[in-house]
Amino acid sequence: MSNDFAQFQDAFFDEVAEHLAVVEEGLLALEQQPDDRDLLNKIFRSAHSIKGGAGMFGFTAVAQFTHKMETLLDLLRNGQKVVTPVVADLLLKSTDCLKTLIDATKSGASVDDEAVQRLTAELAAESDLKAQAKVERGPSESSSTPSLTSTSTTTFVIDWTPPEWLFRRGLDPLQIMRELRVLGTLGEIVMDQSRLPELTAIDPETCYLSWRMQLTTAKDLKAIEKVFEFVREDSKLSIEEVRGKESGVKSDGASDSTQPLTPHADEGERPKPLGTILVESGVVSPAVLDHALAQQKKVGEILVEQKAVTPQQLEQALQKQKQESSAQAKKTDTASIRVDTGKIDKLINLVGELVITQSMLSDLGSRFEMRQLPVLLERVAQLERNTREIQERVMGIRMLPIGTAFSRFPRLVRDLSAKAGKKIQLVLAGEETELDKTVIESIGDPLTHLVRNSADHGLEPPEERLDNNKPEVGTIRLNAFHEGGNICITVEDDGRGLHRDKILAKAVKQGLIGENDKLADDQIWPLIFKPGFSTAEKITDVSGRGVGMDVVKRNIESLGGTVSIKTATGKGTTFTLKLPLTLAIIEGMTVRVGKETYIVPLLSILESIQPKEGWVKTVVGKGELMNVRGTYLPLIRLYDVFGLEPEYRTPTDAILLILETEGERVAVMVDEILGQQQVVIKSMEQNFRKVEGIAGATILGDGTVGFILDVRGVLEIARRGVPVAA
Amino acid sequence: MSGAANETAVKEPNQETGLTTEGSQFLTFNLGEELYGVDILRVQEIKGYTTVTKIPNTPSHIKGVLNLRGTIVPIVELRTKFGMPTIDYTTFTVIIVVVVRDKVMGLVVDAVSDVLDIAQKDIQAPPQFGANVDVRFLNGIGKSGDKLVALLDMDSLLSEGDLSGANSAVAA
Repeated sequence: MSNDFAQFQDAFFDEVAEHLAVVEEGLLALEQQPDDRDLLNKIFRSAHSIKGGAGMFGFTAVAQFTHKMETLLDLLRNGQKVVTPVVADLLLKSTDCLKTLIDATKSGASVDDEAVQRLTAELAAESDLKAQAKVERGPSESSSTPSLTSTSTTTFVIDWTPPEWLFRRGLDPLQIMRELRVLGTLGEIVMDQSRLPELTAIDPETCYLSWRMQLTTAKDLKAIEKVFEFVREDSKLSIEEVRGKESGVKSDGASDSTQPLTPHADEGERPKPLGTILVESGVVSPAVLDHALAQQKKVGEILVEQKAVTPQQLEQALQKQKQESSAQAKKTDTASIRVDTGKIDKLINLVGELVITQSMLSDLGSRFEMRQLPVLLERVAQLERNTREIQERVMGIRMLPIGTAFSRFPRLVRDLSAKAGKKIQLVLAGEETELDKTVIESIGDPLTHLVRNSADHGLEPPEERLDNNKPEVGTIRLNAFHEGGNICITVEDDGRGLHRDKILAKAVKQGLIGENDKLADDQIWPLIFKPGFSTAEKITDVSGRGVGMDVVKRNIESLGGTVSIKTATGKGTTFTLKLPLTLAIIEGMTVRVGKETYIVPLLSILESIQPKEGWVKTVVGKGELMNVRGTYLPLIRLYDVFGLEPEYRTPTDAILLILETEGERVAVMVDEILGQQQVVIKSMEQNFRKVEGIAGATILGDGTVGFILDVRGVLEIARRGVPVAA
Repeated sequence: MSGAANETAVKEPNQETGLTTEGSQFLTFNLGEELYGVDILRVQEIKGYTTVTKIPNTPSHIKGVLNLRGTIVPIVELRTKFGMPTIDYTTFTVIIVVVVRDKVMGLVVDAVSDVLDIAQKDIQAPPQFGANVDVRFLNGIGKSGDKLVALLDMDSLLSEGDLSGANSAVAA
């Protein structure tokens, strides 16, 4: 039971994440086009879905908060309020708060109640201005948009235990509720089924149920009583007025304020809190319970008072609890993946084909004769095709477009530009570049750091930009693309560029370099990746504390990638993250050198040619150069680099691959080109270590391992003339 | 983690019983005339020798890599690692797949012999000389009947630059 429930909860959290993204995106767009009604409706729908889901799972805090947002959104939607920057900002802040609430609910961590309360109050205040204007509302709409803050309405809690003969007289409790709904907003309805007997003992015509309903209406008590007119006889009915925001149906709400939120996975089986039962059974009133709960102390506080633990010990224990819950949260994060149904349908079709091929094969095998050999071969080929395609598709399931990692930046840049008083325009490109899910998850933080860095350090304030004949609005450009079997992500700004002298001065001050060291530009820029390095003159809350850039470098390196910097004073800075496609599939050319097979990433191959007599020139100190149609390219003999025994040593017998890496071109000499195929990259580091010149390994058609060439590495080995410590 | 626990089991005799514990079961194998043992809990599987793919620019005892059901597993030739002369592979040549610090590796040995229970009291500290193998790689010498088994310390055997740091590779 609890497992099923947890499963639905996971789905809910996934959905909520999507809805939140829609809300946030929508709000950002809304700022630009405040009159877009469609946009508002979209935001409203998403918010409403979050509220509905949260309510269903009993995440009261989330539901209540979303409800407040929804109230404000509804006013905007009805045109009773206009979208102002203040409102948009408040809604964005609320979205953040909602995110925190949901994360907390998910991981069971505690929430900063104060912030939630403050925002709730702000939302209520915004919504309140015109709330009076909307007293009456149609039933269809009011069911989804109750307004608790409206001043002229009253909230009643109705306890109704219908008579047992209810059904026998052809009356329907649902009808009653429908009528109540016409009066106003029917909030939470709690059904009490405690009187329900065993299934065998049930009389289908007897009503065993009772309800507690919360009704917000502009009508008075009499109108409500009238609804119950026909069932009044023998019914137990109590209608109480509730004042202010105090919600009559306390259910879990009372416990939330005093107990830290616990993981909800087991909520399905968790008994109701004692207080709830007492209130529900009418033993105590909600107010009495609240008072009692307010006096209740946390276990830690009691233990400290009794001197059983020291405050320090308590603090440590709480820290540990926090860590554990966040560790738990991380675990759940990687647990599931949302896949496009189209991908799954294709996979199912393929599996169907595989089953057919398999049955054809076993049929053939059961009565095989030699003359059927061609048929057998054909079927095996078909099996091969199927398998390959399935493999690709399955790998593809893990691949997500990088756009999911980019989507957070429009918001980030908006906030940053507001804070720093700069005008920033964000341009995204290459969002469709597919990347393994795990990689996408891990590059979010480094990218955030880089974008922040660009906004804060890179781009100048508008006046300064105008003084320098630049457009007032600065541009940050995020781009993702494949290059030579890697994925490159660039963060580019058209700001002031890195300040050579400032970095040098700082580095000397920090003792990173000596005062008289002469450094080339390429040696200076990486200094900013040193821990504790920041040249920002004033420390803002965005950057300047010197954490960040070293974290970027460390994170990217832990993924097996690199970070490089290009900068020009006054023109801007470009950070390039280069990531390996750890789990990705690449298109490769299989080549042979001696007995070994290597795979060259197709993306780095410009062309392959057979050299002619006289193309090779030897230059003293530079090695061999190859004259390819007038361009001289360094010649790399792969067998030299890898210490192999080749078939051909004269270039004219061999094949040349013209490869490009980071803008450099080289001619690599191999014995033969075998073919082109897609290969799945397997990690060498998992059980071994990184090998220079090799980007990874893959399983070839015959089941043996083939290596994927790292063109850059090969070039570097060739430059040094000797492989590292062979 | 379990590896560390097993090691303690080998190094500190079980005081209560003095008898065999799980940690003192060893898979033994031949290299030339000598008998070696590895802690059985480190062994994942034993498979026949198949061709491996040579890794360029690695020490000669790294024979290459193998596709073990989709995982790339490096193969170490123990003879070369121990500085023994290489021999032609026979039908008895096998690869013992071991797990060392969460990494899976294969060891090429002449032949597997037996699984032996060696009591703690029968395990002595490695001698300072005499063995064909550098004593750094030994945990001790075990006695089983009339056989002497050199018990390998997998952690030190397979750590030296084989697994990490491209620059620290040393030719054995």
